[in-house]
Parts: sequence; C-alpha cells; structure tokens
Amino acid sequence: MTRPIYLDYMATTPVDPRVAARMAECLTRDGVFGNPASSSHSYGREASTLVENARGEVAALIGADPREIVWTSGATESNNLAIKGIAWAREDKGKHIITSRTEHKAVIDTCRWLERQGWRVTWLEPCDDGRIHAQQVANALTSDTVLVSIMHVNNEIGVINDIAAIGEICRTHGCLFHVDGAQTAGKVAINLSALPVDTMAFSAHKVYGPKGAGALFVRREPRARLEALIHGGGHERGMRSGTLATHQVVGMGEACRLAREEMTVEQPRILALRQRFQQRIGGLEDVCLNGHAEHRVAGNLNLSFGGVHGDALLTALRGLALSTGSACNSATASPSYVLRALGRDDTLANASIRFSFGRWTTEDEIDLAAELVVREVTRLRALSPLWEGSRNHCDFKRVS
Amino acid sequence: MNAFLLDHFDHPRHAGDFPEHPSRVCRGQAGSEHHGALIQFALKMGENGRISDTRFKAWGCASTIACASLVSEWAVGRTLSDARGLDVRALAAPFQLAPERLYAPLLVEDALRAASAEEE
Repeated sequence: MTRPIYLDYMATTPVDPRVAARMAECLTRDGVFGNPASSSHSYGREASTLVENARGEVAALIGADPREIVWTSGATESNNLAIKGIAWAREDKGKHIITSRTEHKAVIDTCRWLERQGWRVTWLEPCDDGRIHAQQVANALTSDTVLVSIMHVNNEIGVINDIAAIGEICRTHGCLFHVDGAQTAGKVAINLSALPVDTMAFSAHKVYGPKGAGALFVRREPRARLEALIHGGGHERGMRSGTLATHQVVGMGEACRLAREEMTVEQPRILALRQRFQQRIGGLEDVCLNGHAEHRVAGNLNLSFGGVHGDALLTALRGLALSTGSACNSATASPSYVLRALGRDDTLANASIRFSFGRWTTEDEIDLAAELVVREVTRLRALSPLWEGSRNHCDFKRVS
Repeated sequence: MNAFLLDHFDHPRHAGDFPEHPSRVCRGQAGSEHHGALIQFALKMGENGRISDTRFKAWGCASTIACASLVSEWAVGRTLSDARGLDVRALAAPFQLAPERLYAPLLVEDALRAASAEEE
C-alpha cells in the first residue's frame, strides 16, 4: 500500500539518515556508549567529548555560547523549565506573567498551572495577521511582571513574531523574556548573542533530529536565573539533572550542524515549493490564508476552505498526511484555538488545513497534492448545501 | 473507515438536485451548520406512488455523506411510508461506524423523514 504524501513537517520530521548514522555510533559496545559524566575513564570522556561537540553545534546554529545550552527531553520540557523555573526564581519580585493565546500547549498549560498556584497571567490576543506585536506586550506590562513568554514561530499558522522588538521592551522594563523556539531551528536564522532574549526552547525532532531531545538556551550575561525542575546529580550546571542520552544529544547536534550548513539553500527551495503549491490551487475561490502572508516560515501554509466540512475534507485528502484545524472526532468538533483566536468561526476553523513542506518534499508531490486538493474541494463543494447556500446568501446557522 | 463506506463517500450515488421539473418532488432536510452537518433529500415520485429517483446534498463528515448516499440508493422504488419507517443505523451497519459516528445515520434518518412526511 502506498503511503500518503508527507506534508506535516511542522508536526515532526523524519530523522536525517546522516543524523541517524551519528546516533548509531553512540549505542553499542563497539561505539561511544559511556556515561558522559564518567570522567574517570576513556569511555566516559569520549562520550563527554561528543556531547560537548553537539552542544557547540546547537550553540553555533543559534548564535549562542555553548555554556548557554542546557540539554532537555524536548521543547515541552524546555518551556516548562524556563517558565516555571523563572517564575519560581523571581517570585519575590512579582507574580505576573504575560503570554498569548496562540502559544503551543506546552506554554499555555504551564502558564495555566502557574495561575492555579497564584500567579497572574495576561493572555494577549493575536492581531488579524496572527502575530503578537511589541506594543501589546508594552501595554500589558505592570510593576510585578517578572516574565514574558512569546513564541517565535507559530506551530499552526507559521507566522514569525518580532522577538527583537518584544525583547527590547522586556529589557527596558526589567522583566525576563522567554521564547518558544520549537519551530525556529533550521527555518529562521537567529543570532542570540545579539537578541534580547533570556531563555529560548528548542526541539530536535522539528529539525530532522530525534524525538526526545531538546535544549534550553539560558543567557549567561545578563544571567537568566531559574530554579531546576529535576534534581539528582547536578547535571547541566544544576539546571537539569539526569544522565545525558548521548545518542540523542549527538543526534540533535548533527541535525543542527546540517541545518546551519544547508538552510540558506534549503529554505529558498522549500519556499519555491510552497509558492508552486499556492499557484497550483490558485483557481479555487473562497480560500483564506491564515496568518501574515510575508512574516511566515517558508514551509507553512495554513488555509481555510469555505463551504467544505473539515472532517470530510481530511478524509477526501487521505492520500496526504496533514494536520487539520480541528480535533474533530465527534459531531461537535473542537476547532483550533489558534484559528479561533484569529477570529475564524468554528465552521471555517474546522475546514482549515496546515500544509507543511520540508527536506524531502518534491515538486511531483506538490503537483499531486495540489491536484488532489483542487479536485476534492470542488467535489465536496458541489455536494454541499452550505456552499450552494453561501452563493444564495442563505444562513444555515439558523436552520434546524 | 471501511472500504464500503469510503466507496460511498468517494462516489456518492444520486448526489445533486433535480432541475426544475413538473413531476412531484418531496423535499426535506435536517441539521444545520451549528450542528456540524446538514443533509437535504429530494425524492421524485413516480406515477405508481413510489419514489422513482432521488437526489441528496450533504455538508458533514465522510460518514454523513456515505449514509446519505446509501439511503438515496435504497429509497428508489420504495414508498414514502417505507422511507418514514427506515432504520438508517440498521441499513448502514455494513459501514461499521464507530460509536462516536452514530449521529450520522440518525441525522440522515431525520432528513429522510422530513422529505417523506408529505401526504401520499
């Protein structure tokens, strides 16, 4: 059976075979299997060398000092460590946090948890273009604000927030600025040595590395202090205890090295694929682009299709591996909270699809996918009384 | 989703509507945008008092569209009374619908009953 065309690169990426090869060297008896903390023998020292080389690769990709990289299990843990860790470390200075309604659940749920512990959280609404603007943050700051947490690249709609502008406002105010950068690495070039960001979360599996590996950038100067979540051994300068998974961090390091070396060629290629797809489906009417047209990553296209049922569309497009704008598994779908925050009504939010393109997407796949989308949207609209009704200005919301 | 269901979803029978026609056509619908599905049936009546042809339109999940297609095929040659008495869940049993999808045959049943409610 033919596998669907994979267009869900923002959900996860396959591990690059070059990454897998490096990881495999760190597992078995003939490889570098030692505990990186075992400095008393060569097995441990060899592993430690690979871990530190990998740390250097992550740092090089984002313009950081290797000593500013803390290994974690992924972006969810990194976000938890930064947000809870900073909130706890600065509790005596204030208990107010600013974030947005379009953050990943790893940030939203962490902030909600802190709310239940007595912190006050301001939830910013996105503008029509899906972005959070620096002035919104400035307006929300209070004397007891200790932390602002705003994502760099939105995982659903791909828009890029201006973290330089937001960070400047935080610096001026004296609060710390955390950025969820899970979708940043390999897609957007950043230089943290010049950005006013205090902590930033990264994930390996979004950049052709393994699942279960991530990193948190923690600025040294001015130092971002945070409390650890995990204790036991004082690894990672006390910020994250636990024996390091050498193969995982080596995989993340290699993935970051490849991203650094190849992204200037890879991202324009992916942008051309996205533009080809947009051009191929351009004949469809009533298709709405979610998020800013320019301030977005190359590989993301989030579209809402008017007059089509989201669940039927996903079934019709089962030849493509995609993410939908809803978690629809019942008569009452739960539309994407990001698209709802953008002002899309439930029906349109449910009929939204995130296409995300990546390293192994080909022009042939783009053409096949676009042809399928045009054919199936047209077919479902021909079948849909809502589409016909929208042409006749009927309001089926009131029909029962 | 099983192959039978997908066949009805991919190739719905009797999809569309009747053009303006002098014959008697019974119409009915159920659901709404708010409910997450909307189904419309049109039943053309033959001289013998039986349904001679059907059309449907549906906005809903794949199970809803497949159930409407199945019913539109079943209804040809039946009476309005037959249609009013149809248990769509039983008819759609070969689709092996998951429990959370059982709203689909029920809504299709409502639409069919609405269309066949007219006096014979």
